[in-house]
Amino acid sequence: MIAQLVFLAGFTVVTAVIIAFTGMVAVGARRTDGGTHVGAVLRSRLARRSYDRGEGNRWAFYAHRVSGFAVFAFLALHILDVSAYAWSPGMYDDVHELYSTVPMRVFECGLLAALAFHALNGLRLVAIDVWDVGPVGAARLLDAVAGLTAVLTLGGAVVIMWPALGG
Amino acid sequence: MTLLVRVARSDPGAPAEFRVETFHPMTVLDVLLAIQREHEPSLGFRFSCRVAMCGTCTIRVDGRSALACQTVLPEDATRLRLDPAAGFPVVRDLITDTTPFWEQWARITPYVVPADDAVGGEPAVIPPDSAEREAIDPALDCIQCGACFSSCGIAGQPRTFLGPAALNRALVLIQDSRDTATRERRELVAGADGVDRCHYIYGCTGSCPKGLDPARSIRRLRKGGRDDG
Ligand code: HEM
Ligand code: SF4
Ligand code: FES
Repeated sequence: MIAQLVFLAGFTVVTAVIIAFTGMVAVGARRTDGGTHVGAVLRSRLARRSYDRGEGNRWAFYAHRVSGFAVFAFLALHILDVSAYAWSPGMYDDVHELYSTVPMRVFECGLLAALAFHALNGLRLVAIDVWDVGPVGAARLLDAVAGLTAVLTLGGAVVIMWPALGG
Repeated sequence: MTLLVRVARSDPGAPAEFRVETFHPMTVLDVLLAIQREHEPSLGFRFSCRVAMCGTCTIRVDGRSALACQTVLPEDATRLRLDPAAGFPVVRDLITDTTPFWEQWARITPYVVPADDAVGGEPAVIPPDSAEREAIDPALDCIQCGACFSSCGIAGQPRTFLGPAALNRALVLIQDSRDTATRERRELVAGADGVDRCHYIYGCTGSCPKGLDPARSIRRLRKGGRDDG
């Protein structure tokens, strides 16, 4: 029970740090960047065709940074909770019961989305660098990354949520 | 048609929303001049040549870095948002202090440094159809407007990234066989403030009013610069 509370406290800290980091990225972007008008302007921009779609590359950069940091922050906590096994297997089981609760399963789906996006987009960045695909090509590849991320996340979400939804 | 223009003002109390009667073709600079003439004489903005040559009038138009004098309003435009160029300290309203851009520009020695014995000799000739010329030409027309710098998510204070315009110019000069400062430039380009700080955002290429592709120059510099066209 205590172990569960400690884990939940750590989990809360990690979540808060991820949210704070996202805020920092957004504030920094507002200062140094030409492209952070959210809301109506963003929608009107994303609706533009062809060349201006390159604007998505900018949002992909921020998403890549935030997803990379989020996965790293969670991994740091996860290393600790897994190492509870070395301490006592009972404590490990106790903590890991939490992973099968519905809220944690929802979080795991988010984690999967972040990991899938970061990995696929990382491969896209390598491709840009190696083949010099240009802004339009990069935007097309980003469409593919977004599509694949959605498919992977939805597929994974079914698997992750299945036991909790009585399947 | 009436256009509703929202302009970022440094004085929070100053009027920031204006209605302007449009005509066609009307540029964003025409809009600013109309506001200054009809509503707000104290509105601060810069321009000089009015024909996309001097690089003075860079601002953000609906969030994107652009030259005010070159950006024509779409015919059905009803709203417009104008902000100062990003990545620079604001002096007043749409006027920014572009020092961060010029500091990086100066670092790459943005001009040809001839060999000592070049003075007084025959003029150097780079034929129009040579490989060297073909490599240089597409990257040559920079007017130092800073749109790329302002649109890059990495360039700008407080960072020290050389930025797209300086790197683009570095590529031009590294290709140039008359130049003798290649080694210094290569070191700078490969160093901590050089090409490896590019994060593939393509803000530069997307905003260059001269149609240059600084991102491509950065990719080419990463692969070595000279000879690989
Ligand atoms: C297949 C797996 C992965 C690939 C292909 C990949 C690829 C990349 C690439 C190319 C970058 C550079 C991005 C840029 O220059 O803008 C990057 C940055 C980063 N990655 Fe990954 N990555 C992977 C897995 C991970 C994992 C598992 C983590 C977390 C533990 C992670 C955390 C980060 C972080 C924190 C950054 C720095 C982001 C930034 O500074 O904007 N990555 N990754
Ligand atoms: S590369 Fe293009 S956007 Fe950048 S300073 Fe030169 S003309 Fe302006
Ligand atoms: S006024 Fe000279 S470039 Fe716009």
